[in-house]
Amino acid sequence: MDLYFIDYLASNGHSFFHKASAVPKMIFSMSIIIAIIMSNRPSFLAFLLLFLLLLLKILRQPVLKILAMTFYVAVFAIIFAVSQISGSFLWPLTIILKAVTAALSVLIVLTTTNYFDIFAVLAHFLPKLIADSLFMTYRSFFILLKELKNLTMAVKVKRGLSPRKIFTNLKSLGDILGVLFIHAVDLSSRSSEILAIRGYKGGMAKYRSLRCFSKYDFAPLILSVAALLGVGIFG
Amino acid sequence: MSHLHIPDGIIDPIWLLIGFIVTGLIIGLSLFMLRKKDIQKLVPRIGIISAVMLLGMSVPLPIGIGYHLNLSVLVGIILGPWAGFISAFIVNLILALIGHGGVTVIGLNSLIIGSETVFGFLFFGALRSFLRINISALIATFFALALSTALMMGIVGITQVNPAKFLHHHEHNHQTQLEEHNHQVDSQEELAEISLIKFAKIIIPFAFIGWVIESLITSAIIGFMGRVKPDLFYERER
Repeated sequence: MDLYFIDYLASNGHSFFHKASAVPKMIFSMSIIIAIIMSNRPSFLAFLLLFLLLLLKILRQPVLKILAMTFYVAVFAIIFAVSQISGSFLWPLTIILKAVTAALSVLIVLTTTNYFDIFAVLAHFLPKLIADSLFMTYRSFFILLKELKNLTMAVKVKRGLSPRKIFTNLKSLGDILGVLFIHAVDLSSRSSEILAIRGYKGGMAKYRSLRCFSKYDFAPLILSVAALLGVGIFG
Repeated sequence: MSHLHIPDGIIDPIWLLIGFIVTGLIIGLSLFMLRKKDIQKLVPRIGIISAVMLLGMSVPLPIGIGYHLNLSVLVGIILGPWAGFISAFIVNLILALIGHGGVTVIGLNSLIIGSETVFGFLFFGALRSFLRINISALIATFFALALSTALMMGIVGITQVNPAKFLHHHEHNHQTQLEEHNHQVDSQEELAEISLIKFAKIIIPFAFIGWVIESLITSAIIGFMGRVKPDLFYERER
């Protein structure tokens, strides 16, 4: 999973999209997805995909690496598309284009927006418990990822992971995840003590108020209108 | 292997809406059931266990093919059905945000992965009274995943998008003759049925391998946790 890389791109970019606030960028992503839902024309969807790739290039983001992140969703789209083949290749092509374009539109927002800002927006719509747990999930992912890497390294050194030893590998993986689960539960106990000391009563995720409208917010909004007009006229 | 990785824009918006409404209702019920729990303990527990679930999904299985774990049944066994369902929703939300699934299918996906946590918890609870915990986890995981895959196939069947509808729309816009319309409806139904069977034929063999692997690993984890920290499993309050 590429959360580390996404986080790095979001924190270290200086493009006009990075400077725009989260809400217009989320509106941009939703507009692209609405356009994808409304359109069944492969040519329009291909144009939309090219447009997003061009936008990534303009934003000086690593286009191929971000496109590679859509690989997983593309694979499942291909499985779904293959099952839908009915004489014409247009529908499978449409499914794949829809999948990759939608994933890319979300990734553009994620790689240009600090997760703090995204969760601050989501916290306005989600119940406290879910918004705070979401925040906690994201934070602890990186802590546990480091631990997972250490544990995997320890198992590799001690027992070894080899493609030929399937059952040994599965048992090793079970041990690694078992230890990780136990550490995760310990971590959650420590976190709950910290929350108790701080007098937490819910609402952790409302740590940042939504930013005021700035000149950089025009770009994602204009692109949103363009996408919706585009699907209305050409889609 | 039982995520509904159907991309955005494929399923009819009405089904997406239904998915969100049903998920919203279950989350509402879960929050109601958890209302008396200590939020200071619950938030870190759900958050951190969800992070482990995400991590499990990010580890490719070392068996030479592109499988990854779900750990949803394990999460259900540890968190219980209500917090487990919320955890499944959170994981789906994050997966959708990083392009691993459609944003519009978060509701339907949460129902599927959430069902694994709920079924897994129920099966494990029923089996552990007379079987060893690792065997209970093995059986519970296998059947929970099989049921969730059946649910996924059911959703694909119900929400079946007919390719013929769209292709026909492109090729012959605004056909109005009743006879042709009837013929079109018949062929659409036939095609939908064929594509669902095709879909099942592609998915089920892969899914079966996934059920077996996930069941073995969940069993190994539960066996390990049972030896080291047996109080970790969620107990139903009496």
